[in-house]
Amino acid sequence: MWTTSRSVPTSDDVVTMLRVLRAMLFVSGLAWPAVSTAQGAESIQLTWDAPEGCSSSAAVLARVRQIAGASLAVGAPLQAEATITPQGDGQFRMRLVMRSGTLVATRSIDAKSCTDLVGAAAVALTVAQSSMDPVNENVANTHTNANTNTNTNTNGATERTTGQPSARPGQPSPTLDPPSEPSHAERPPRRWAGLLQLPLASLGVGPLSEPSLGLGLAAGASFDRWRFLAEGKLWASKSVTKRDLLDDYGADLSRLTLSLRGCRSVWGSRFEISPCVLLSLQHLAARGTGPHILPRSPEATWLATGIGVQARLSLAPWFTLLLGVDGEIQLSRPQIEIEGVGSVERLAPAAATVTVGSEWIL
Amino acid sequence: MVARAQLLILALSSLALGCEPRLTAGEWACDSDASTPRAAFTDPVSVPWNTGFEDRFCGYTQLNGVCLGGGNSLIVTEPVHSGRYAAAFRLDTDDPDARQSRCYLQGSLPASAYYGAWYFIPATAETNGTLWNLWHFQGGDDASSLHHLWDVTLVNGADGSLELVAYSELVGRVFRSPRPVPVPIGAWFHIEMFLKRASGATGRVALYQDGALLVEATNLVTDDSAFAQWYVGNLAYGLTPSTSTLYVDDVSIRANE
Repeated sequence: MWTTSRSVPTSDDVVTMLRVLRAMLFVSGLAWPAVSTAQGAESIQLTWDAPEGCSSSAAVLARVRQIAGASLAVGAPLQAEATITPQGDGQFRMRLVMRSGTLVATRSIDAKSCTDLVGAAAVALTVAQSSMDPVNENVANTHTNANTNTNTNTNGATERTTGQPSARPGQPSPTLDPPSEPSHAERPPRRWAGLLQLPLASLGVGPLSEPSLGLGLAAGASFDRWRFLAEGKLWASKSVTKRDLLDDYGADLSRLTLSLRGCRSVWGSRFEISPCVLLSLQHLAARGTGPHILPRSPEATWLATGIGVQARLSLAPWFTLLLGVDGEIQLSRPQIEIEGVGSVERLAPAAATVTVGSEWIL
Repeated sequence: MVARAQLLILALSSLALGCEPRLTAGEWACDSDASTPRAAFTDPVSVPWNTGFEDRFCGYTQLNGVCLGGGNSLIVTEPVHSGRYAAAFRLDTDDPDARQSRCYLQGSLPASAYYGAWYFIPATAETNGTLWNLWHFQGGDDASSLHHLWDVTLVNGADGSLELVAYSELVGRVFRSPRPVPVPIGAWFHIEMFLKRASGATGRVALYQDGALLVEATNLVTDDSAFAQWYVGNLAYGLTPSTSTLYVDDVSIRANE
């Protein structure tokens, strides 16, 4: 039994291309088995550093020939360094560094026995030589560059089969397939991610008597299925009027909202639904208008609290479209008035907001 | 759980309903430019002067005038004699605190001038022998030593109709037309009084209704004060019915013909 730790590509595209590449190599290997068999293992220069009792590099190369059989494509010379060290728990760990030209790949493989590591090394070398084919250098470059970030993937399915011989010599044994490239869904998600929601366009009904349009942004972070954001929205100025006698009086209202939002995803993956709670600081500035009006510019700031729900559609690992609906209760209801005219606006006790925007996952 | 949520919503709603700060976004003012100087209340009243209440009661404010009666002196959009607005003066003679609603201007009145106003009386009333005053002049050396000068008042004629009379406090006499003309009910009519101020027996007074002379008196003391106030509106003590609303528009002071 062995487990692997290896570098992973940075995008699904690379993974997909590598899979296609492997399939092509497999097919080509079937078509020209003689050439592949003759040249594949010989193009691998293996430096084998193992404790006493472990097999030699020759055994590894022999296993490469056994595994690859007719499927091994002709590739650039592959230099590999394998270092096996016993672990305290009776297991062995192999660090395998493979180079082909300027390309470098690294794997760390754990196994219960040194013998298992021979098979694992052979599988890794076979795959590596295929993946590092100069014809696909661009792909491999991408792969290699990704090596700067090493993720660990535990694949239990390969653990039990490593030591078993190939069922059909000359063909790659399904039981000895290297751990498949982890798909996007298989990769463990990052627990933390920075979030930037920009831009956010909102339609608010309330607390003003007329609907308002707002523009804003939010920044925060996600942790597992939780999301925490600080939002800022600047609402378009609204004019409220009151007809007194035959003249129109009113006030120009400027509103700003700062909110703290906490959401938890409860459904979906690519399309997520997340209920939220939010606490907002509302700020309103008013300025009177109308004939014979000496304007003043009073301001008010108050709290509002409420709940909401956000639906998010993931278009890329780094980009999401979102739609949110919030409902808030205003903890204060400012009343705007003009002396000599009377009240021109009284804010509603509740407000609803619909927001659309884009989210950038950092 | 549901009960707790309901309590929370109730608490938040109560909080929201209970906190209603008032934001005063402006104030109605006669002069949009607050730096405009206003006349001292003892300054001469320059003529011609008029107000159609298009800027509410600013015409009076400009002459340091005041409108009495609180909410009973108000601007209305109908009926109006001209423009968009007129003033309404309401009273209730059964309420001691609501027996007048008037506006006055003050200053040193012209040596002689025509004082005019358009009135609209929607319904007649019985004065019961008490005063129903439309205009009032009072004067003195200053605002602290005022005494009555002239009144223009409504009285019931023999047939119950209303007619205009003038009264001089200085002379102690009611000037009533020998051929009284009833004031129209439900229609605008114009009241005009010529006043030649004189502290000796050289003064002159004339009262017109819709341009027709009602009464005239000459060679009498008309005004012994250097400072005066002119009230226009509605004042009564014992009307039947007790409530009355008079509409006034286009109040003016003009010089001699």
